[in-house]
Amino acid sequence: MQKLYSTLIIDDEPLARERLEKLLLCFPETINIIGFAKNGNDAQQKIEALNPDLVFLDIEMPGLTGFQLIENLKSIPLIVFCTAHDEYALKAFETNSIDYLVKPVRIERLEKTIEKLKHFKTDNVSQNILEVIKSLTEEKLEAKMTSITVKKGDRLIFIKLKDVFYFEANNKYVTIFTNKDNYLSEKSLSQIERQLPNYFVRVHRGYIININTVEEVQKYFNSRYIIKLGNNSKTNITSGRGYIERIKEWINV
Amino acid sequence: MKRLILLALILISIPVIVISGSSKSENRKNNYPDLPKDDKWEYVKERIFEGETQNFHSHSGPILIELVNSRSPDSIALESVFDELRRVLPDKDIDYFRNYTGASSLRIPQSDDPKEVNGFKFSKLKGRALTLWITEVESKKEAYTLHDERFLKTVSLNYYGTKLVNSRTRGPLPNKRDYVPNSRQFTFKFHESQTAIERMEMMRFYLVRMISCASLFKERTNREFEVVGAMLNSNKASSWHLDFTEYDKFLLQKFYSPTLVRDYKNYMFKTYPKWSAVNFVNKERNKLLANWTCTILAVVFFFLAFSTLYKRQYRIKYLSYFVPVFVAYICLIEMNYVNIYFFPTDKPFNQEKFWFYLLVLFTSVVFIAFFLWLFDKYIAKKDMSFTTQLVLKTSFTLFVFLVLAFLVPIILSDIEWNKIHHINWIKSYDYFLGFRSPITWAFLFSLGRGAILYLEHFSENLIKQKDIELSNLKAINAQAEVKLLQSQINPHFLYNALNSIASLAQTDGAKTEKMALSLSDLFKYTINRKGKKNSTIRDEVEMVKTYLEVEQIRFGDRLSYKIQVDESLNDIEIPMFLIQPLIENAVKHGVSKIEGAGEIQLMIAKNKEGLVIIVSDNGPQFPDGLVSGHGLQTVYDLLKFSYADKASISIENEPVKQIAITIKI
Repeated sequence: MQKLYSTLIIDDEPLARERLEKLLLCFPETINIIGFAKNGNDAQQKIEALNPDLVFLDIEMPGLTGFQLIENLKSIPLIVFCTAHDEYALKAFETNSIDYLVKPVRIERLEKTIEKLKHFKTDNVSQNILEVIKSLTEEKLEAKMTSITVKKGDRLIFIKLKDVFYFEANNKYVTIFTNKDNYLSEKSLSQIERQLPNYFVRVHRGYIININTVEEVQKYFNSRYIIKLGNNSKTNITSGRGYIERIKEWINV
Repeated sequence: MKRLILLALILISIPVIVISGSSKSENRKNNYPDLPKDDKWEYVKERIFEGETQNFHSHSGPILIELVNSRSPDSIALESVFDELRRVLPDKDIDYFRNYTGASSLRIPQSDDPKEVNGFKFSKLKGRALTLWITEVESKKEAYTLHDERFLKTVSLNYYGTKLVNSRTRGPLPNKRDYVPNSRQFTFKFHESQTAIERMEMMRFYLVRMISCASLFKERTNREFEVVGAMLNSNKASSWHLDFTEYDKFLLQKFYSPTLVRDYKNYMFKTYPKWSAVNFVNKERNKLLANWTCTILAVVFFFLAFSTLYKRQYRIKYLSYFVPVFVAYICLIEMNYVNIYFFPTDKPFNQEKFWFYLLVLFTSVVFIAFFLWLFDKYIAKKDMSFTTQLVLKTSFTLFVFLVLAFLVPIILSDIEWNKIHHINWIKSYDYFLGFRSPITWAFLFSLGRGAILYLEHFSENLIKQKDIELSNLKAINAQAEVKLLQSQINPHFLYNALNSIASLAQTDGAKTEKMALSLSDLFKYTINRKGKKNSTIRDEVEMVKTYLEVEQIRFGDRLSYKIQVDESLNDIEIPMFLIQPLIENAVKHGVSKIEGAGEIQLMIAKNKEGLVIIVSDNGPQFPDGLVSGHGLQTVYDLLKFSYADKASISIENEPVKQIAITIKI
């Protein structure tokens, strides 16, 4: 039974929209293009107004994230995701039997999608979609932080995170230690901690260390450790009792 | 930290102990007035033992006298002296030489001289005999009387050669300067008007002094036990009223008693409190103990002070001179106190004096540190060669310390209670040698400082060498990195551009061609600049324009841009690929993140700070703190590499979101 899916194309790049349109025109028995949207808000409006069965959704769009968009919808159509380059997401897609397309779309690949659609069962996929999109967008947010900026007067200094040995909290500011120099940041240690990649570990209320620079870890009294760093001054940092779990986790890796 | 506390504790406790113990000195000053003292023993103590040691000399064997040129009354007078002495010293043989040996001591060895008399070798007896010459003088003036200065002086100062006398010393021999060629001979100058008794008294005086080696007794100071009129009381020529008192007899007796030392010890321990008795009896051992304590203390101080003070950074540079000198001086004072503890002086603790001394000391420390600091700051500068610095610093330290070593006692000696003490001290031998001497310490300190400077420099040099090697490697690495940076175009950009081309290929041939050619231009820009690090502003802006054209095709009307460049700056050279990452950033994080139309502005101008390159867009604000991606870091590194401190980046979010590079030219 051939179903005709009313289709909405959502993509912020006009070229990509045109391309997809052109390709989809090759499948007139399955796809009926009813509209285009160029960003999240626009998409929301159009979906609510036109109620399409199927939506080709570009992930990398400004405005509403895919997740927010779906959340705001009362009824969720079938979604074919378009993504540029994210293998993680691809895995998630596979297990949730929603299809994905890698931009720019190739005709052969699109054929496969159409085939899937023909044999599709419309049971409860909406729930899964939400989960997938959520994990997708979260993944995206974890863009790898590589540098940290510090203001010195009206100058800005960029410090490569891989050069940082440790962060030390003082009363009013945080000191960043590298081999070349020490820098002061006005952020709090907890603020910084949240944004650092996972090779920075907080070992003490006042210290975050770069585990790639650690030379030695010694056991100390009272369930603490002495961590020796490989910087020029060979700093030793004593961990705090409350952080022992996290440290053990790291050491046993 | 612990070491510091320990050091402070020791430093404070020592003077406290010493000063509290100085209550003893009250007693000492008054010479223990409330103790059951035996006057005679006191006399013995003062004279023989100098109040201190157990060293004394005596004659062993018989005491033989050769009397020459005497008349019969004289020899009879002398006999009576002998009798008197024999009563005092029953165990000693005191006689005329001839009587004892049957021969004369004055002739050259004769064949009929006995080889031995009473177990003593004749030659030895001869050598030890005392010879008294009697001369009769014509005028009264020439004659000696018992109260005659000349007589008193000559007899009083008759030193004995140490070789001659069989000494019962325990411990080191007295100083060489006590050695004067022996005077076993004495000439009495008598006048006929002098009575037999007078003569007898004079001869007795001489004899008694000779037997007891009184000239080796310590010079009496006024505070010691005064026995008026005693013959052995003092060495001064101006002692009058000299009699052969009971005290003298007691002394002689004890002097020649074999149990002298033991008896003396018994007396001392019986009468005096233990500590000062020990001080009197065992002065040598006491000294040893004191010296060892001082040495150990010095080592402890040095260790503690050195490990706490070494390499300490102070915010005020002056302090790094002041503190070590101060601590060193305090340690010296402490050791002085320890010394006082072992050898308590008779002076009581004078509060005023104590605080005054401290004040003087503190001022001198302040000055020393000040001069050292000044010198190091202005004269021995950092740019001089190390050897010059070392020599200058060490010699100046020595100079400063020496100056103060001389100045301070002179200043102090102006103060009443110190006048004599200090001037005497300076004049004395002690001032220049030995561990009490400030001269020695001046040398020690400056040598120490020199050694430390040298060692520091040495280890610094090692570190510097390693550092140089390391930075060389880093420089090579950095150069390679820069090369890499400059030859990169973001692959994502390329990818997106190619996708756009693919999309356009079928529908819009003209646009496709344009895009492909733009890309080709971009790469040409990168590839053809082999090895060159810089390009002109004109070329960079050209490249940025091409880049923006490519992106505009992708985004359509979502992207618009404006470029404003001051014409006069077109030929200025800047590092290649400096501006492009900023524009790319503006596209990636600015325009692509907003829904509406994005605008990017590039402005290059010159202001009083120098060359200014500003990229602004209307996208979301710059994040605070952590940055993802390498673009901005690359620009920062490139600037640092090419301009060091002359270039800077600044980021603003209000009133306009922009990132600005400022280069001082």
